[in-house]
Amino acid sequence: MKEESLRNKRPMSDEERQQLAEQLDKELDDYINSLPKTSYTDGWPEDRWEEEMEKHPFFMTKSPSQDAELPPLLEGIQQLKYDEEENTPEELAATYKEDGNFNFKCKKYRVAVISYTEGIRQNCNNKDLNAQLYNNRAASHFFLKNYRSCLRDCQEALKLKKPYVKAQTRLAQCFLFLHLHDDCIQACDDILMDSPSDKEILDLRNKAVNSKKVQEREKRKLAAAQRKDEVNEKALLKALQDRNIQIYKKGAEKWSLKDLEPQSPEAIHSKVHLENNRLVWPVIFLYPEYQTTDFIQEFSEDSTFEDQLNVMFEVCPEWDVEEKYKPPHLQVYFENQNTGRLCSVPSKSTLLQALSDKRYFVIGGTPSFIIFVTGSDTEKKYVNS
Amino acid sequence: MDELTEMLNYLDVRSRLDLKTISLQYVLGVTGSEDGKLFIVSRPPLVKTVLALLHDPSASVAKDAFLCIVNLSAEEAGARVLVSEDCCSGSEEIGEKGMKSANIVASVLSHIVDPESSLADPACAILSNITRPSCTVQRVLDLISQTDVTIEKLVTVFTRIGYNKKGATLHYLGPVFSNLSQSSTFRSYLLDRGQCVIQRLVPFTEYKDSIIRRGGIVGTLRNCCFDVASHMWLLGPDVDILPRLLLPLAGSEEFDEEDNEKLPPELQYLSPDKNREPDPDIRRMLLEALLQLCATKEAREFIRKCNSYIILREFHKWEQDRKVLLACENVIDILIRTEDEIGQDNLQDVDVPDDLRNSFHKMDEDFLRD
Repeated sequence: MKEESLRNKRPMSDEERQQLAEQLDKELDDYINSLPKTSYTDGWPEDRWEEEMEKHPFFMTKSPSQDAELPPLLEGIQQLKYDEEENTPEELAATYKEDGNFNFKCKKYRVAVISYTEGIRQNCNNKDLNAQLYNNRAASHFFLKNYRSCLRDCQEALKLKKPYVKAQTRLAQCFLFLHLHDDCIQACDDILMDSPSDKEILDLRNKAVNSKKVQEREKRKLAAAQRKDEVNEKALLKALQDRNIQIYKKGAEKWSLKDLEPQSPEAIHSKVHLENNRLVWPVIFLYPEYQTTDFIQEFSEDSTFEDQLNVMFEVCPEWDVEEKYKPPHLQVYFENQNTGRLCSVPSKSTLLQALSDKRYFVIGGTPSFIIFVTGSDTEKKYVNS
Repeated sequence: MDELTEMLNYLDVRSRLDLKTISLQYVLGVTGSEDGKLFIVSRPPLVKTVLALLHDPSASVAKDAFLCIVNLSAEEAGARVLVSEDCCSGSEEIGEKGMKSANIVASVLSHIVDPESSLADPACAILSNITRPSCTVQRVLDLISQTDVTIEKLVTVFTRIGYNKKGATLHYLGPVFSNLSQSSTFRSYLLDRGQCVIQRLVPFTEYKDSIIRRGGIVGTLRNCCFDVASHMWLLGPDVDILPRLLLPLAGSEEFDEEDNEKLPPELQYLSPDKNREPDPDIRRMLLEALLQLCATKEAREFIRKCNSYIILREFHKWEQDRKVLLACENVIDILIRTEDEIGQDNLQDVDVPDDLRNSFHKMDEDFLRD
C-alpha cells in the first residue's frame, strides 16, 4: 500500500492544502487550550512597570543610590564583574582599569583615582597593566592638580616600565608645576635621548630653564635686600652707641633694635633711621596743661628744639585758648627715668644733645618731651612734684 | 732604538704578560722624549701594535698602552699617523677584535661611552689630541660617523656629571668639542634648531671644577659664533647665549635700579662673592665670541639693549692682561658707537684693504708691547 501511494504520489491541490493547514491550526489550538492555565507572573506588574523598569540595569535612568539595596539583576552583574572568586586578580585589575578610564573620560577624576587604586590593590602579576594603572592614576591626579601624587605615580609607573613616554612626559610637567626646575630639565633630557626632536619636550625644557633663571634672580634679590637691611641695622646700632644714647628696656636684658620699634600708632612707620649719617627720630611733645600731644614724624638730631617749636607754634594751636604757647615763652623738659623728676632742656640745644644726656632714656622707640609755658602754674606744679 | 722593532713580537696581544708589560713600559719611556715619539710614529706597524694593546685584558697593560698613545698623539705628526689608514684595521682583522678596535677613534669612543671604563679620561685626552691639528679634524669626524656612537651620545655623556662610575671626569671632551667645532659640519650639528644640543653645553661656561671643561666649552661657543646666520637664534630665548658669555666677565658690582632692570636676569643682583673667570685665555675667548656676535646690526642692537656695556665697562676697569684688554676694547668700541657711525650692516663683509690691515696689526702690537 505504501509503495503504491508513493508511486501514485501526485501534487496536492490547493483545496487539499488549505484543508490541511486548517486542520493543523485546529490541532495546535486544541493542544494549547489543553495546557494548564496559569497567569504570567514573571513580567512587570502593570501598575508598577515604570518602577520596575527603573531597577533594570539596561533601562535605569539614574545610578542606584549608595544605601539602597541593589536590585537583584544589578547585584548579579556586579558579582560577575567584581567577585574575587569569579575573576583572577589580573581580570579584576583590567576591569578596574576600564572603570577608571570610563570615569576619566567623563572627567570624574576622583572616582577614576578610586577605580585605579582598586586595580593596583589587586597586585596582579602583569607589570604592563600595573604600569598603566599607575600612569592613568597619575593622569587623574594631574587634572586634579595633585602634582605631588601625580609625581609619585609617574615614578611608580616608570619603575615597572621604562621607557614610557606618557609617564615620563607627565613627570617632567609635574616637576615644572612644582618649580623643581633641575629635575624637570633632567626628565626632559631623558626623553630627548630617545626622541631628540620632540617639540613639546623642547618647549617644556626651555620653560624650565627660563623659570629657573627667574627663580634664582628672585633668590638673589631677596638676599641682596637682606644684606642691605643688615648693613643698615649695624650702622644704626653703631650710631646709637657712638652717641651714648640710652634705650630703656624693662628687666635685666640688654636692649636690641627691636626695642626701638615705635609703640605709638602714629609712629609705626617712622622708626628712627640714618639719613646721610645723621639720625632722624619720631618725637612726641606732651602738653600736660591741656592734656594734649603733638607728634613730630621726623626730628633730625641736629635740629634745635627752638627751630622745631618755631615751626610748630607759628600759628596758635586750637587747644591754646589763652594763646600763651608762643616759642620764646616755652620751656622743654624730659622725665628722668630714675628719679621721676623733670629735667629742663635749653631751647637752643639740639635733639642729639638732649638724647645723649646721661639721664635720658628713649622709651618705646619714640623720644618724648614735655612742654610748659615758662613760669606757668602747671610748670611749677609738675616740676616740684 | 731598533730594539723597538724587535720588541714588536713581545708587544703582541697574545704574548706572555710579563714580556708585554716590560716591553710596553720601555716604549712608554721612549714616548717621553720628542725624538722618541717621532721615531715611533715613523713606524706605523709599531704604532698599530700598541693600539691593539688598548684593549688588552690586563688592566695595567691597557693603561700603559693608553699613556703611550696619549704621548704620541700630542705631536701633530703622531696625530696624523694615528688616524691614517696605516693604523686602521683591515676588514679581516675586525672580525676578531670587534668594531671597537677597528681604529683609534673607535677604540677611544668605546671607552668614553662605557660608564664602567676606568680608562675613559685618557681616552678623552687622546681624542682631544688627535682633533687638535686642523688637518685631522675631518678624518676624525668621518671615523666617528663610522661607529655607532653619535655626537648626541657624546654630548649626553659629557653633560651628565657622574656618568662614569669609575671616577673618570670626561673633562677633556670639552676641548674635543672645541677642536671639532673647527669643522662646519660639526658646527651645523651643534646649531641644529630642532634639537637640544648647544643648549646643554652653554651652562658649562661657569663650571668651576675644571678649567679644561670650561675652556673647551667656551672655545666651542666662540667657534659657533662665527656662523652669522645663527646669531639671532643664539641670542634668542631658545639658547640665550649672551648672559652665559657675560656672566664669567661680571663681578660683584652693584648697579642702580635703572641699569639693573635692563640686564638679563642671570646678571642681576650678583652676590658679593662673585668672581670673574680666573683664566685670561678663557676671558679673551669670551670677548672674541662677543665680538663675533656684534657682526650684524640686529645682533648689535640686541646686545646693546641688554645693557652689556655696563658689564664690560666694569670688566675693563678690573682687567690687567693686555691681550684681554684689547679684546675687550674691540667689543666696547662697537657697542658705544651708534648704528649711523658704524654704517655697515654686517661687519664680516667689510673688505679691509691690505695696507690698512697691516697698520691695524701694527697698532695692536704696539698696544700690547707698552
